[in-house]
Amino acid sequence: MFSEPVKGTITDFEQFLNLLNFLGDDVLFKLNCDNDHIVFCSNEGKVILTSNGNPLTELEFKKKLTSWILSENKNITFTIIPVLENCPEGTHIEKSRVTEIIEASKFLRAIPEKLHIRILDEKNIPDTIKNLANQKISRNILINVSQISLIDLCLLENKGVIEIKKVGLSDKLAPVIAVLSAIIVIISGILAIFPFKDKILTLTIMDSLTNKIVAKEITGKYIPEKLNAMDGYFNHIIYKQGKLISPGKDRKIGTPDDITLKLPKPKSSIFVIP
Amino acid sequence: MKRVKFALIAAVITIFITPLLFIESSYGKIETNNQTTIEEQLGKIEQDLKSGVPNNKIVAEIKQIRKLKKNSPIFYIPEINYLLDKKIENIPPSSMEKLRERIFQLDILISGATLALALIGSFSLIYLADKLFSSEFKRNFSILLGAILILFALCFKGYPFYAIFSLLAGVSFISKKKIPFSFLMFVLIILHIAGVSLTESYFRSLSSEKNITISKLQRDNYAPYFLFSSLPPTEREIANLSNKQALLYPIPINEWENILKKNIPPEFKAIVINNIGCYLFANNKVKEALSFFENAEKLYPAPKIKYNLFLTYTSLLQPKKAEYYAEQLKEYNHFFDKQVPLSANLGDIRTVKTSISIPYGKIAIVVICFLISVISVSKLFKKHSLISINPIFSRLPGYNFYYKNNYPGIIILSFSSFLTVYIVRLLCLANL
Repeated sequence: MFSEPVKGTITDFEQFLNLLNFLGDDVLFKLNCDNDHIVFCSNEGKVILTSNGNPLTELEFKKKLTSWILSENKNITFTIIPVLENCPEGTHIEKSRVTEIIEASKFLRAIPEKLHIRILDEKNIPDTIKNLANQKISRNILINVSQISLIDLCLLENKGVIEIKKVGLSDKLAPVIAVLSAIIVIISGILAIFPFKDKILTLTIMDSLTNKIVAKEITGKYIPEKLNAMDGYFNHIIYKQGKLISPGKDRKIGTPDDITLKLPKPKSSIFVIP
Repeated sequence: MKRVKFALIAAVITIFITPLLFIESSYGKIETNNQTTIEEQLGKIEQDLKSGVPNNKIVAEIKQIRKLKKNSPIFYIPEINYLLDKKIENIPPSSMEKLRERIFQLDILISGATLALALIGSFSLIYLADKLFSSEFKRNFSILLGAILILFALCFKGYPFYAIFSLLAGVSFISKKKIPFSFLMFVLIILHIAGVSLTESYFRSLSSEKNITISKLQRDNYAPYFLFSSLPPTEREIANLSNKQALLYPIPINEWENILKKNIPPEFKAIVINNIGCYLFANNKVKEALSFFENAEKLYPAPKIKYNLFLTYTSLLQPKKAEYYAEQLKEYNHFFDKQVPLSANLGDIRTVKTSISIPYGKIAIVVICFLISVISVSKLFKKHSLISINPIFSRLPGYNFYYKNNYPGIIILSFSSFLTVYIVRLLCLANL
């Protein structure tokens, strides 16, 4: 398919998954992170993984991927190389399993620094995890445990077999901060809907009402205090002592943010302004 | 061709109607001094409405005022509609009403852009935090700070608004595939600035009493007296007299002549001379009126003066000359409904002014902040980590469009912002 290697940078998981789907038997997919790399070689729907010339097991692959994702400021690049020879020797992993691992690794950063593993379904749990369950453990300890990787925890949590609970104060605070931020974002969205030039819009609305109100004043018709027209904040415009008043943002009349328009007092029967 | 035909038809009709005018036109009865003026007739309607007289009397009075209007240089009397709270007169929107309409439309554009900016800005912020920090606490805390900044921008508006959103626009340069979002935000900011600048200009124009007066005179050919109070003395005097003449008050010719003696600019002289011509025409002195209209045209060729020349030549049975002027009045079809000469006023020599000022300061802030953000993001954070899903923010509506580089999705989201604002405003302005 390619005569020359194709290089690029991986910026998000969607791109990673797209590249993996693209991986066929005629190309090698090499993932580089600083001086380290993983080579994906596809062979009849299965993938053989190697790193630095040595075969890579599924657990080693998960561990390597975990360390790459959790380390900050790492530049992950890829190279697609045309296959010239057969795939090297190594463990065969189903392509769907590789995809599953990458999908699960999206949630790696959601694992808190200090955690508590709660087992929900004992049947499908490896013994190592059973031993670590129901106690406060550090994420760093789990990274260094040889039998499992953090991605396994993500896979198990996604299947609903375990539940990862937060123990540290900053980890516990993180979702609270996130909810607070989300609320502020939503409030900002609501605020954005209101008129940006609120005074101009309100005065223009009042201008449009002037002729109607003055005509009612002249003919002595009843003018309700709360007019049937609204300003940009859904406040009814108030008619009071020959003035039109908008309560403004605070929705209360008599506050400094009130917007007032004095109605003309024509001395003749000619009163309409354009 | 249609217009010429129309003008010729108008000319033929006028030839037959003109002699009748000298008998029937109320405008022509100026010298009798006992003609009811439009202002007086309106006053009667107001009084009767106040005292609750039977409807048939009001209807008769409306008929009377419309008859007066037909024989006056006034085009529309919107007071009738407002007093009766019914659409009796079919009145076209004035230039002021058009400006108000534009302000309402621009408000939707501005608020729609603000909403789209707030959403895309928040998404850029979440993505940047996820890229830069591995710790959930750190990234959520940085998102909180950014969200507070967005809220601050929306509350304080002006320069902080443009600075903060320009910085957020540049943030998308962190990833090549996110750059289109950066440009979309930049375009939205520029649209926002243009919208705000136009709104401010239109509002300045709307707030000017001079513009209100001109707009009213241009549409109706009369205006409430209180609008003339801010004019300089001579202008006020001319405006008041012309207004009274339009409302069918008898204006003694010497009042106009006294103004002519003053040192006034030629366009004001043209108004006065034209209005003297109207007076003469109404008093069957058509040939004398012609010379006044010709002189007025030399001083300032206002459309109403040209129409008066058309009408005078028609009355003098000179259709070729009349046609010459009719052809120049293609944009003033409504003049031809009038069978009396049209008195001129300030609306014929002045135009509604809208001065649009370019907000260089805001544009400079936007460009500087955008560039600072782009350079910082692409240079300082060149090496960044593989992004991980943020469990809370990934549920924020629309964030997935940004995360997955779904460009049509973000365009639809921006369009929905405008639609939301449009619906909200529709509800607010429903009873206007």
